[in-house]
Amino acid sequence: MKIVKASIYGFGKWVDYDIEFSDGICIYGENEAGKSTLQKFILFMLFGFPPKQREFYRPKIGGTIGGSLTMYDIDEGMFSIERTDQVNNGEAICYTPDGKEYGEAWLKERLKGMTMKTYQSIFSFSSMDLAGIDDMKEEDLGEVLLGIGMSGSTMIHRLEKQLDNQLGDLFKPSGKKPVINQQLEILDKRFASLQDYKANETTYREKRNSKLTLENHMMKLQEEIQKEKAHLVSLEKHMQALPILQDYNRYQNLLKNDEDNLTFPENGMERLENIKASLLPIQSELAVLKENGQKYQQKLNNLHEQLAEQKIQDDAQSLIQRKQEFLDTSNELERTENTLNKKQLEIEGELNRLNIGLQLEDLGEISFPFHLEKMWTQLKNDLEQLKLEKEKNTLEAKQLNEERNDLYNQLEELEEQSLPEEKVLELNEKIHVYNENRLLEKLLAESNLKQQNWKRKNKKKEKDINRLLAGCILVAVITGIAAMLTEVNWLFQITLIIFVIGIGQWILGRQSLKEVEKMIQIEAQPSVGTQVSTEQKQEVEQQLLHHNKCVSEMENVKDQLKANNIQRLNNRDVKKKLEEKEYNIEEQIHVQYKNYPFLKQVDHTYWPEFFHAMKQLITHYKELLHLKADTERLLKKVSEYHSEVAQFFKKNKWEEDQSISHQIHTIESFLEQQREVSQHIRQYSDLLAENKQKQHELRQRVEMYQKEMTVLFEKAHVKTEDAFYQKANRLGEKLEIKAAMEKTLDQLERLFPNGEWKQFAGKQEDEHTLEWKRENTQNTIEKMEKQMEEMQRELASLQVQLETMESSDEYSNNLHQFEMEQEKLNKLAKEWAIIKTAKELLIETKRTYREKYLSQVMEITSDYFRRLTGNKYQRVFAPMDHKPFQVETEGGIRYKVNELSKGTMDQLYVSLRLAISQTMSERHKLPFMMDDAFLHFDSIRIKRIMEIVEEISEKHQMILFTCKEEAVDAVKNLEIRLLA
Amino acid sequence: MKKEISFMHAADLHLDSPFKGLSYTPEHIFRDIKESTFNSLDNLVKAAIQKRVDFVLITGDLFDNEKQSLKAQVRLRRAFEELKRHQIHVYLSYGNHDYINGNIHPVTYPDNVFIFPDENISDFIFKKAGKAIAKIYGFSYENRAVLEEKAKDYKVKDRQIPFHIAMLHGSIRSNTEHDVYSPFQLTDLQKEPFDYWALGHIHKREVLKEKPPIVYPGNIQGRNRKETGEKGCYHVVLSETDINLSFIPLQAFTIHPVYIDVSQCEDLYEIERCIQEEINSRQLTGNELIDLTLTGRSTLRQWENDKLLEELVEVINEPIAYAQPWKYIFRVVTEVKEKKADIELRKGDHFIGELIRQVDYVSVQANVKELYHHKQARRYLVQLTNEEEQIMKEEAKELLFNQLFKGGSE
Repeated sequence: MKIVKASIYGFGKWVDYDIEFSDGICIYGENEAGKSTLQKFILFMLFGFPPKQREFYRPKIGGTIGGSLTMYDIDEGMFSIERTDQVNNGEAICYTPDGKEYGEAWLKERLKGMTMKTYQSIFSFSSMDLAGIDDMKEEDLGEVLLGIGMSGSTMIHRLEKQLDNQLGDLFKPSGKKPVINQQLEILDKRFASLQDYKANETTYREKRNSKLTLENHMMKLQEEIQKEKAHLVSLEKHMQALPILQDYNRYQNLLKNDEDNLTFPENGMERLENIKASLLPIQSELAVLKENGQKYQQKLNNLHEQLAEQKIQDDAQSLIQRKQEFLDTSNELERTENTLNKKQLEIEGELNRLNIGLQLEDLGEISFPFHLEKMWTQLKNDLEQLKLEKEKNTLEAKQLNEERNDLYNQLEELEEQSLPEEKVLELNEKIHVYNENRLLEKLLAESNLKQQNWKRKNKKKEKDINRLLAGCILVAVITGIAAMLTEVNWLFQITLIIFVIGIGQWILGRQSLKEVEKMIQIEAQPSVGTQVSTEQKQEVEQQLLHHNKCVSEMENVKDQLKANNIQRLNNRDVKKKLEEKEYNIEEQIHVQYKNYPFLKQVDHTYWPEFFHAMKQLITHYKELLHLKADTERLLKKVSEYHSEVAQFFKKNKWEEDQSISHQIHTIESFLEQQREVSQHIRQYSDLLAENKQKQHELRQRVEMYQKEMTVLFEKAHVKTEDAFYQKANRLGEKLEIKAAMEKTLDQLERLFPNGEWKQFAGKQEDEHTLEWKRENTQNTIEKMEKQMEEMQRELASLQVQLETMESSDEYSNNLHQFEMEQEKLNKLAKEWAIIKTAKELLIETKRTYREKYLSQVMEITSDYFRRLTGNKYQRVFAPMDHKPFQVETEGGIRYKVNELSKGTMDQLYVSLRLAISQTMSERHKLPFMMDDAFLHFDSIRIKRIMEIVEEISEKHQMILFTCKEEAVDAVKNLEIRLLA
Repeated sequence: MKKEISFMHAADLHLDSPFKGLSYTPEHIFRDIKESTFNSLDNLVKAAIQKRVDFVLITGDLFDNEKQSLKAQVRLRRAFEELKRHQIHVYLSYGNHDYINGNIHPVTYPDNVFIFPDENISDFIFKKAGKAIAKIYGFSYENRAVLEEKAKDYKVKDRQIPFHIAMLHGSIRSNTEHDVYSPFQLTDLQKEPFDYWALGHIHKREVLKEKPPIVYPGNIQGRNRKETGEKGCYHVVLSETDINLSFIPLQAFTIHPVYIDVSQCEDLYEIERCIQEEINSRQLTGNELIDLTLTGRSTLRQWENDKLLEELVEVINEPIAYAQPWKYIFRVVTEVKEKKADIELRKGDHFIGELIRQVDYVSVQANVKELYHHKQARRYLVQLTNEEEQIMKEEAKELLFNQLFKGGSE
């Protein structure tokens, strides 16, 4: 593949720059001319850059980063690669001549597995690479050169060394210090202690088993101890109970002897005694009751004799029932009679008081109709009113007459007081004269005032006229003088005129003043007439006033007289009407006198009161008549009752000559006595019945008790009470023995519960045997208890051990720790394994690569090296089978590379680089870029190398960058391009 | 009264079994991790008491016989005693890790604990208020492995008892991830009318079927980096009409995988910031071990090789490990994205191309014998799996790349 043309849109210092490449081209430029940037641009086009690196080459003036590279490929022909920063993140777009577009992948395909890094290590080198060789240690140099021969890079050997070191730091099969070896030591220790702990924990099982066995033993032993202890206790009790057991046996024998049958009712004695005790009081009570019954019967018979016949009792009863009625009637009679008398007296008194000559009996005939009261009242009122009106009329007539007289007197008086006609006229004249005088005086006063004013004004006017005259004379003098001095004629004339005017003015003023004075003097003349003083005038006026007053009063009195006359006429008419009315009333009164003659004795003023008194009297009288009727009816009733009582007495032949109240009392006491008797009879009958009932009940109870007694006897198989008692005694004795026996049994049961004593009751053991047995047992128990204590101690110790183990987590801890250390080891081991693998991989690759390419590379290297050294060195030998890197001279002498001079080393390096790229270019035909690789070469060597370069460029595009003119000079066939 | 029972279903307690894959932690976190299985067990007891369950089912693998500690047994006994104080029964069967014949510590449990005595399927009757209300079936492993299809032998007896619960420690036949013991197929479990299948053995929680429930509760505490997230037991309430399952977390700490893409980070400081952001972004409910995977460019590997990443993680761990609750990054793995270049390089005739081609032929096993067959180291080392070998090759290759290109222009 060749680069044909590069078009830079923008890349570092290059903007819109095109450059064409031939098969061999030498690009010359000073430092900073942009050689390196151009190289980078080619790399960028071929392999692309990551964004950050791209950004570094953004032109300073801005714009896009990118460009296109036109390539020629044998298989594909011409195609161009275009990359710009913006498009697809700097991905390549390839255009083939047939107009197709391809992407990055297609480009990669063309590059045949070459990456930028591999490309740089193989197809590009610079003077910097040469500098690196100087740093190599002498013994490594051969290996380094070999590495270069294989990869173009010095790294392989360095890496191999580094990996070796790392491996050594991690692990050495028989070392102590490396990390893994140390970790192994740790693990060994952990493992050992883990085993120990594990072994320890394993004893747990054994200890637990022995603990269980021990517990079993202890349980069994405990049971035995309990058994022995129980035995001991029973022995001790047996000893204690020996006397009681003896008693028991004795009673047993006694009871066996007395075995006959003693039938006797349960608690027989007591029951018999009870029956008897209950029977006795009942029997005595029965006797008392019988005696009482007889007494009651006797008393009852006596009472029946005292009781009277029923008919008599009924009669007496009916009389007494009516007694109250009788008493009420008599009382009422008495009361009515009293009222009657009172009433009669009252009416008679009233009649006397009225004194109108009426008797009690007359009252029955008088009757008052309903309107009467009103009529009488009317009459009375009319009479009174009439009287009043008559009086008033008379009084009025008298007054009117008096008034008339008065008025005439007044009139006369007034006529005397008034003035005669002539006098009045004279007086009026006097007043008129006075008024005229007054007016004249007033006018005079006013003209005096005016005169004074005029005088003042004239004086002022006179002064003014004088002053003006003086002024005119002054001016006339001045002008006169002036005229004389100047001798101007018209000035004389003026002086003359002024003088004339002044004189004229003064004369005129004087005249008007004189006229005015004259006028004033005329006005000031006073007037004189008849004089009337003020006092006189006032007196005249008084007289006139008085006269006028009298005249008007006279007029007034005359009017009053006329009115008086009219009133007197009216008064006389009224008097006539009243007299007619009086007559009518008299008529009516006479009618009343005729109907009720007794009225004549009553003044008509009291008629209304009299009417009321009479009305009341009549009412009283009617009441009196009613009372009389009542009295008669009551009297009749009383006499009837009397006769009935008398009859009753006669019938029963009781004493009759007694007052009625006494008789009634007798009947009442008879009835009371009879009631008491029958009461007693009832009482005693009741008592008797009760008595009989009680007797019956008691008899029944007695019978019941007797029956019970018989039953008791039958049960005891006896007939009499004595026999019964005898049998009871025998039974008592037997019971006592039994009780003693029970007591003994109780004691035994308390000592040996649940009938254990029975086993001792049979066999009779003596005290000594028992004591011997007891001691034996005691000893056994003590032994066993000691054994037990020992076992408990053992168990406690075991328990502690087990608990300690249970609470310990040593094993657990170690286990976790061990696991972690083991993990650490594994991690380290993996790390080691990776490095180890890497190293082996590297070695293996080297070996293979060497087999494949090394001989070819060495051949080419030898050729180039020979030419570069001017045939001084003929061949180059790669290291093989522990032989180092060697070179052979013309004379066949071999040198180790580290024996070569610096210059020769450089030549060897260049030869190797050219050789490897030559070898690789068979597959990867990519252009070779050299950047001042021959900086330190002299001109001969540059010439030699240029020959080689030109030779290579025939097959393989070569792009040289240099700043050395010598290099350019050495160029024969290469195109030379200068960078500005 | 409504017929109802409630119980806890747990399995695979693996008490006191060490955490796998932990090479270093601060002392206090190590202590927490060490105690974690016991704390989870305590949580189980507390939950059972709090929920007032009738009984607790534990389906096998209560501890590991191989690394059995007395502490595990004693703590288990204490837990059972606590349950007894609250009248809660325990029904347990032994599994492949705690098989009866391998038990070296015969600790006696209180009488509220009912253990299936042997490999024959037997049953216990649970009585509530004097009435038999549930029958619990199961068996224990007598030896390390049970290979018969035990599930087919489970038969419901006494059908008048309302509830029938089967306990089975084993796995589905098709399971390839674990040792297949007492293999079964789902259809085997549905033949008989059991109300609940309390399974054990698989550490990942899974409800295989809803009706009737066939449940792996998983283990109660994550024991290695693969056992992530919440771990615990199921609280089950069975009534005649309804089944209610709820998961109750019991773990003392969770294992949390964190993946962070740091390919945009230019240097270690940025990576540190990225990691801290990611770690602090989540609200913690409990202690947490973090399994960190970083994805980035090849420089990441270089930092890893130079131990810089390790130091960085130490710095990040410093504060969070002492917080309450604590977080701790216990493992860091790096992944490199740039794989595409390999394919290109592989085609080249140059040295790198040759190197890549050589990766296929190189054998890790052969090269690491020196250590992995070393007589002292051998017993502590876990032999490498093929997968690990492959990863190692890749890492070795990347190591070489990074070094060879170091100093090259980039």
